[in-house]
Amino acid sequence: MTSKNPAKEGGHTIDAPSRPVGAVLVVGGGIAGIQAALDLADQGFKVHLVEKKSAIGGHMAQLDKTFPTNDCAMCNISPKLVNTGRHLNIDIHTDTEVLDINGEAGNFGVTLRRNPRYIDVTKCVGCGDCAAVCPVSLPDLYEEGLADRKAAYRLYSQAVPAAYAIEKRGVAPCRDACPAGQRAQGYIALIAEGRYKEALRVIKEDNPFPSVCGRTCHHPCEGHCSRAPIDGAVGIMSLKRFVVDFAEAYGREPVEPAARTRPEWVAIVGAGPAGLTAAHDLAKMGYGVTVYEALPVAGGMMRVGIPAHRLPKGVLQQDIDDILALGVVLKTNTPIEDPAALLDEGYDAVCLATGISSRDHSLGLEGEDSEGVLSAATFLRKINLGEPITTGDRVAVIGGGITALDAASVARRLGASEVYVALDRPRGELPAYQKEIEAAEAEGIHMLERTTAMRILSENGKVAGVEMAETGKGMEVDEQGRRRPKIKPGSEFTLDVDTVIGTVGQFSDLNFLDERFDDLGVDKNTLASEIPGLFVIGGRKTGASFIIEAVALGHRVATSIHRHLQGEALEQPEAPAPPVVKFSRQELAEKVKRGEIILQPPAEPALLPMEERVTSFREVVLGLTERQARAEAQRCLQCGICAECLACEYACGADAIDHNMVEQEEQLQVGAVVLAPGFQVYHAELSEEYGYGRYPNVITALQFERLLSASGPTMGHVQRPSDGGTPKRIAFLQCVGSRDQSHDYCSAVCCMYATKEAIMAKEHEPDLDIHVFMMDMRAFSKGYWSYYERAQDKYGVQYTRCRISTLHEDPNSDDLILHYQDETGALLDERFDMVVLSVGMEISESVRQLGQRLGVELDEYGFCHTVQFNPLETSRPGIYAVGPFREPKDIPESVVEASGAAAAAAGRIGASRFTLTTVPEFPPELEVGGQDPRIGVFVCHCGSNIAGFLDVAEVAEYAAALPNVVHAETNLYSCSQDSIEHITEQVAELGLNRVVVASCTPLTHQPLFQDSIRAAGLNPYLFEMANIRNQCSWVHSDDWDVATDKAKELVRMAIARAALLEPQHTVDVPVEKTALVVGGGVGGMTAALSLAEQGFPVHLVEKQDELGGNLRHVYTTTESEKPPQAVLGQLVSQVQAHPDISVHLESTVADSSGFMGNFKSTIRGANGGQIEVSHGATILATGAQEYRGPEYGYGTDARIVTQQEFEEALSEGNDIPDSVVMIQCVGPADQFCSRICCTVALKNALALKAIKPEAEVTILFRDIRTYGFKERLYTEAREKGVIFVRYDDEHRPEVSANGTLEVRAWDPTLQQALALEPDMVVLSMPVVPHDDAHDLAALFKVPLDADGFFLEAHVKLRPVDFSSDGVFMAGMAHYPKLLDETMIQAQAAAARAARVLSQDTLKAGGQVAVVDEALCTGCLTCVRVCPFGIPLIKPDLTGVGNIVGAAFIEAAVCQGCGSCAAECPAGAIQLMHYTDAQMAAKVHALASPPSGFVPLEKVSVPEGETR
Amino acid sequence: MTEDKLQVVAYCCEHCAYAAADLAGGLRMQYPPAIKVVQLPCTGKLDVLMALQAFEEGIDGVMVAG
Repeated sequence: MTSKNPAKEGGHTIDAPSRPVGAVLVVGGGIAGIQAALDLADQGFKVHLVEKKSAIGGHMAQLDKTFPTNDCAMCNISPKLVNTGRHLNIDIHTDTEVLDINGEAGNFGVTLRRNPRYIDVTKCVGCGDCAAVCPVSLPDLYEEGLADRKAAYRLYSQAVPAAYAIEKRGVAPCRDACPAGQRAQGYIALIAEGRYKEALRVIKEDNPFPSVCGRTCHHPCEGHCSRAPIDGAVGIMSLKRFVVDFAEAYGREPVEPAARTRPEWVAIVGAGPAGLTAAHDLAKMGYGVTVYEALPVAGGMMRVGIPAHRLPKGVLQQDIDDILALGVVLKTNTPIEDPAALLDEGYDAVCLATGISSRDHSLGLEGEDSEGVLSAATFLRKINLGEPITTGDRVAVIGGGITALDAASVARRLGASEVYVALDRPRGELPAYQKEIEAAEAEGIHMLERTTAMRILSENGKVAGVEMAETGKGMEVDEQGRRRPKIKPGSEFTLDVDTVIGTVGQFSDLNFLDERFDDLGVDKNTLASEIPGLFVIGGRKTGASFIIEAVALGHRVATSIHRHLQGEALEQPEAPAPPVVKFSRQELAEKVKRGEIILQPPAEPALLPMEERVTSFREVVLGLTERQARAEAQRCLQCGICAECLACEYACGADAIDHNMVEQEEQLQVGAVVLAPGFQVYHAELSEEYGYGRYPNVITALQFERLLSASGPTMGHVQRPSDGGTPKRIAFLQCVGSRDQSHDYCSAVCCMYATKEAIMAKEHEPDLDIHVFMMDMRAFSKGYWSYYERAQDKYGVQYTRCRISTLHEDPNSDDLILHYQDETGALLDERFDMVVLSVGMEISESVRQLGQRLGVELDEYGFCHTVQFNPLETSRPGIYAVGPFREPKDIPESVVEASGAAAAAAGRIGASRFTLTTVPEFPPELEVGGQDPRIGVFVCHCGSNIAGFLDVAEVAEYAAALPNVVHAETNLYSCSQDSIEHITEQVAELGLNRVVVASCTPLTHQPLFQDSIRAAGLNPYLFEMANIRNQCSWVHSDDWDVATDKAKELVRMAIARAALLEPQHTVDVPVEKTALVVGGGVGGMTAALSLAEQGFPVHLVEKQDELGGNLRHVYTTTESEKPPQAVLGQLVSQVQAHPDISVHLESTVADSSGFMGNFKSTIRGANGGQIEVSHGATILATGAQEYRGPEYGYGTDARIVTQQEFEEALSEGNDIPDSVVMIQCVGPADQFCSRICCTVALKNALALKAIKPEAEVTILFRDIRTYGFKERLYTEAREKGVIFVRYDDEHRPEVSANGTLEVRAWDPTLQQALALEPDMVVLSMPVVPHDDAHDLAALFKVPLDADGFFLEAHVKLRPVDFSSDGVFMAGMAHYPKLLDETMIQAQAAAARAARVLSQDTLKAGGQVAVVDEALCTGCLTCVRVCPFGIPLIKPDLTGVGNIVGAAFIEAAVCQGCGSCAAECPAGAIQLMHYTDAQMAAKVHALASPPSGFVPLEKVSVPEGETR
Repeated sequence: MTEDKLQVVAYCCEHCAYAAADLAGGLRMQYPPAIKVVQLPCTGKLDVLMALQAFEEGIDGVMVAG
């Protein structure tokens, strides 16, 4: 439905190579990355938004509220998430990291690595059925570890993309060690939850012999178990057996025959584990399979090689029967000598799976042909086949393998009184496990360690004994070329026995076949022989030693045969393998230390009583009890996290799960890059003195944030982690991981977030005592100071200036005791229920590495270094950095930087706007006017989310009977791609002209369905949703009938409104692609330049006779890369020289009118001349001024100066004072913090110290607010000897200038008065708005805040927008700010303006308010209530009774809130799409249900569903 | 209207209260089935007549959230 639009006609025609790539890479999906992406995409660039996690949203999505407005963070970010997710020109790359960027600005090549998510984002509909069945739980990091989530998870409920993800570290070592790849962790996880039936299903996915392998496997899995080195491996084999036994005892499900979907037949020769596994796999693939077996029974060595007391025959038969039940044909007693003949008989493929040869091999001992010498294999085979066999009373078994022990224990059961096993090596070196040797010993079998047989003595051809010898160290080769252990000379002795059972290696061979197969060549990898269609698993080359290896071979050959029969290449392409994950010893030790692993030895199954063992062939090992099995399963450490139990795969109705995904590399071409990788919170456990991680009631502020959140782990109830109780006293400790030895910066946000959390906690629990311990209160930005005061005055939050150095826990109550000194110097002990650590911001190691890989300059902490006069560009041109990656900062500043970077990037690649973007393409709209409503209703199952709790079919049936409904149906997932297309088809086929979808929330899904009906030619406004999931099935999940009934009501209401819906049309209004920038200071000039560089003409209006504004008075800056005046000069000449900037000096704006895209303003020049300009956007950058009031005697004495005057004096170098007292927070600074004064004072103090190091500087302050890296100035000033004395409101400094200059102050630390006599008093005067700020605001119809600064549309997320569209702000007219902050904000304003200017037209209409002039009385109610100031009374319109003038609402800017429509006393205004009639219809439908007949033919419900 | 079945219309702003109701569902919070949420573009759109009309129709309660 979309198409690439070619480069716009009439635009630049530049040759391909020189044209930059019209795409931008944005790294990081937090609020800054989202903002940059939206700003760029909205102005015609393709955006690739790369996020490492499975969803975008970043830290902001974790927050409960935002300061200083206490807005809900999620309510604010969620619409941005949805917009980003749906934006046609933003590709979100989740689970992705940037590996490398090559090339240069304008044309970068980007290499990305996409990590496997194991769920296909394009198929997943976010229903959550996978998480519901997932057995693996782990700490939820979104909830900061305060709750658990499943391995199949969604980051948070409003996450974008809404798709789930599976967390998998890799392949668990148990699975990796298993030749057949058995998903042991999977079935163990299910056993731990008591889901045994599913556990059996998982086992059988990889292994058709669960009963056998649950008993006799050599279980290499256990040897590799991560738990083995701590307290013993998990009893994986025993658990497998438990599952089978449990199913057997409580009724296993019968195996259904596999569907024959393929015509081919395969013959398998040999019914051992390999052959039967291959038969099993091939039958499940749909082939016909016949198994030929020479013996009278199936099972191979499992049947004839293992005695019944270890593997009961019935148990084996169970597994075999399950395979045969699939439809496999078994022919016993049918030896095959010529497998090729089977091919001639009509089999399409033949597999030789004949396994171990039945022939005996020589022991190589003298006397071995005596009577009474047996081979163990023959011995066991005869026993197992029930053939007659006799042994003597005294038996020697030679060999140390499992077969030897089996033979010995069988001989014992047959009645031998003395049984010896000669082990030529010590126990630890034997193939048999120690446990098995011990079990044999327990049965009275003698183990002769380090003993070997030399020769068999015989009398009369019968065994009379064995000559034995002890073995020494090392091996030697005898005459026959066999390796034998060396003999200790003189150690020979004779063992008095009458039977000798020898074990030698057992081999697989093909000697039983026709001679012509003697040299049959077989490919070891594909298992295909030289004869096409003949496959071999057996023989020396491809044989197996253990059952599970045979199973693995069976799987392999089945795959090979399948490929052969499908005509595919036999060699499988090499697939990248996921990593094997195992915990290191160190990790395990830490887990034990943290209590995550509680030591507990493996569960031991009960054994048959000894007296019953040696007298019968009853099974010795009795298996685990259910309780044992559950406990044993819970010992699993879940190495891989996801257990690959496949429960999700079975549960997913959308076929979205793919456990075989692997990481992939991808390449992109972009013209610019914006880095917004964000911060990590300081790891508080590193500050050991606060006991985080050890004391449960010490938590981080981010954890506290989650506790406060209504969607958090406690649903917004503040609870102590230790006992869930409501705390009474909470302490906040500030500067944890900020302003300390290892962090020389201030994290800038902690003071305010702690204040916010304190306020919110008090709102939840008004009786709480909250005490904040801090060094300074850094309430430095707009509204912060009054927020801090409100916390104290209204909420009673207590603040104490003290840095807590340590705390300890009362182990009885888990309370925390703080030991501190208060401001009077008194030492106190105070007890708290809970301590919140205000953790600071850091750059994570992975972000630091990213910066290093990309070659951008970083500081020692990993923050990205940029220069003051180009604050957003990294050291690598074309790559920009925003947000806390540059310096710790708050949300609005990150948003401003993001927009600023968008402007900077657009400046580089502006020529390629709209070259890579797509536009939606739809067929022409159908005319529905005058038609009767024909409504189609689509009711969604949402997997089990709706259908699991109410009767979806009944709802559809009910809907079908309602008036105007011509069709109703149900869908498994209405939002899946096929359903979306299906709805489009149904609209066309059934001639629907209104559509109702009853599913989830319109907030996320309405646009999707609107597109679907639009694709069929229907106007998108002819659509309505009934939210029967979020508002019904999920909230009435305990009552099927109630939920069904309510769903019907919701659908009925939706249908009633749908019948009255009307198409709404938008019109295109052309955009005037010029900007007006008011104010010629650094903000205005930067904005003008940015827009002009992007190709938009600018009118720059400055009231003074030169450009520069306040920057003309700045001589030094906090960084000294370039003198400010040089920078100013450069900026001015750039502006003056730019052909697209018209500078209007000594000019003001006399009038401005119009709306976004079409403003008209009058510029009045110095000589009174006026010109009118048309512009599409307006930027107000009118600046502010230093306060000049009479406080502290200013104006009465030349020695009392302002900081600006002091800076000027310092720059001139005249009369440098020897001593200076600076006084902070003068005059209006009582009402608001002027943000920059502390930094400016420190800058000037240091400048003085640089000129005159011996000069005495004393700074009298309330708080030092050097946020971010400005903190370093504070540190440097203290190092250079600047003296800081705090004052408070009760002890303000006093200045007198009667001859000598005297300053009196109170030192709170010394608790005494100070009197200073400096040469000069410097007053840090706050920045205040210009005197004419109100006039300017009135002219442009923009609001001011209480302090007279511009009021932005939204403090957090629209920090440079006015609420009136198309008007933006920058610089100190918004709030006092430092030079770089002004430049960034100016760029941001330029980006916001460019969003408008880059469009040819703007859409007007749709959901807007429309005035019926004939009813309008011109009462001005609409004008007054509109929050956006849009309605006006137009004199050229005629109102009710022909009065002159009626209300007019400009459709291009109406926000569609409907306030005017609600308030209009004459009822003259209707909000389109929410008309009074449409709203009334809903309520009427709810109150008055129609009753009537149900015509069944209108219902279409899939077969098999209940009606 | 039957006597025993209550009906409450909850007019919710789509920007906040409607989203909150969505979240309440997501968290499986339970509330009485009588409540029927009606989406508004802004609670400013709520005309007092809309509330009165609901009572006239026989609705038992009107809730406004935004």
